[in-house]
Amino acid sequence: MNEPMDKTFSYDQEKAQAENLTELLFNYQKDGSYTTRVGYDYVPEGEMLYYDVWKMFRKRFESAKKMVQNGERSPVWYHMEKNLIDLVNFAKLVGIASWRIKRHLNPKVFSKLSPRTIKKYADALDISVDEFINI
Amino acid sequence: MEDMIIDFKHNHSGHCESGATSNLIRHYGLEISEPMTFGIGGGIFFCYLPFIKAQEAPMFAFRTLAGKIFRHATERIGADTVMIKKFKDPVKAMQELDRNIENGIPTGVQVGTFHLKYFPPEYRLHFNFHNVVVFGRENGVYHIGEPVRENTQLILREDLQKARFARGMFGPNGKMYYIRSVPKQPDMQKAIYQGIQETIKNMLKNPVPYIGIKGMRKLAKDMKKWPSRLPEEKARFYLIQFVRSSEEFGTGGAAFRYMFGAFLKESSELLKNELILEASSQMGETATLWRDLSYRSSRFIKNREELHDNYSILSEILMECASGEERIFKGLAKLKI
Repeated sequence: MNEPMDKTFSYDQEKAQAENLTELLFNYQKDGSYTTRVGYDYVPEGEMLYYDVWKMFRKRFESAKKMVQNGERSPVWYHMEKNLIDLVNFAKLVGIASWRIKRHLNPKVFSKLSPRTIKKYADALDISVDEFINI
Repeated sequence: MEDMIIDFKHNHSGHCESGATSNLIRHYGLEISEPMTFGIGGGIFFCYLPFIKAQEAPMFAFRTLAGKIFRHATERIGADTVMIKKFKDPVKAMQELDRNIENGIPTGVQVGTFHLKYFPPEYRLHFNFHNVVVFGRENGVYHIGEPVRENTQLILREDLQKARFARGMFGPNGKMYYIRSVPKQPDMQKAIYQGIQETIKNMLKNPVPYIGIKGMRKLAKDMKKWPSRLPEEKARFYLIQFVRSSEEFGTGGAAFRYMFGAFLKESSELLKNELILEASSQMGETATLWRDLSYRSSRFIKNREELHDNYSILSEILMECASGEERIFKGLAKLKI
């Protein structure tokens, strides 16, 4: 449609992502007034948990990836971990019953799935079928 | 369709819904701050649901249900609003939004954060209770007043449509809301009292033991048992989720307690009421206690402080928070209307 616009947009998108970590924080002063400031370190010494938690989550993603590569679980498991989503929620998101998803975690069952079912998974996560299978 | 960008003043806010609401009201000429909107809308809350799991940890909520702040705040200041709760057809939902923008009406929409690509990838979880204001379109790109971010953002039309119809738990179903008119001089005293009344009802009088002050005490009791009842890793994760939901998920800090205190302070100046002023300073102290709780917890999580019995100490601080808030709301209950 309008290509130049799209290009500047994707550029802005990256920049926006990099800048988009700060939040507006309220605070209480000893004299009884309330102040606000922009930042992300809600307590002194930068005790923010954000980075630590994501370090932990990344470890989980890695171990899930390994399990898939070793043939213990199917890619469905990896994507569930990656999106930090539990079974009930995931079933609602994809539109497949949770007992069926549980079966699909088995690589043997997963290898027999129809392309249509796999596309359903990929569509729900907004990625291509290729990205879904080859992690 | 013509391109149109409404002259909309975006203000950085601590929380998505109260921020979107106050920005929308301010567009119609009534200067109202975010804490004021939050307080009048009866936003503050506490809810601990151990049997509903979000990301494998119990659910903690520090504010009322999504949609309530907008509905109550606008109702109480007497604004004329329209809220469309549900669309069946995404195309029609987008047409309705386009028509609003062409008519110069900035519109609030509920979206799922997964499809908002201006956020860093880590923020894009499957969370469906986010609110943004749409105030312009240009070549298939929409201008978004993202309340919890300092600058306005851009988003592609198809992404916005996907976000408005995000699937999963409690999907937004294209919900949108906008204001038709706001009275020039609303009865602020009545609005503030109604907001405070609702808060007292939520925090003190709800019979469900997981809600309000009772819920806080319940959580404090359960927290003590976490290390003995759960595997160590899991207990830690519960604590992490508690701290993150009180500090890092767009709350303005300390589980909204600072924001509510700011509301009380502003109301006391507006109404010249000593009782509310006292409650405001008490709220500030309690909020500092909340912050202390999350500070200690995060130090503990990072293992920089090896305390003998960490969970019991945290539980005691939470108990103190509960009694502090009980005192505040019981004091506020004496307000005469």
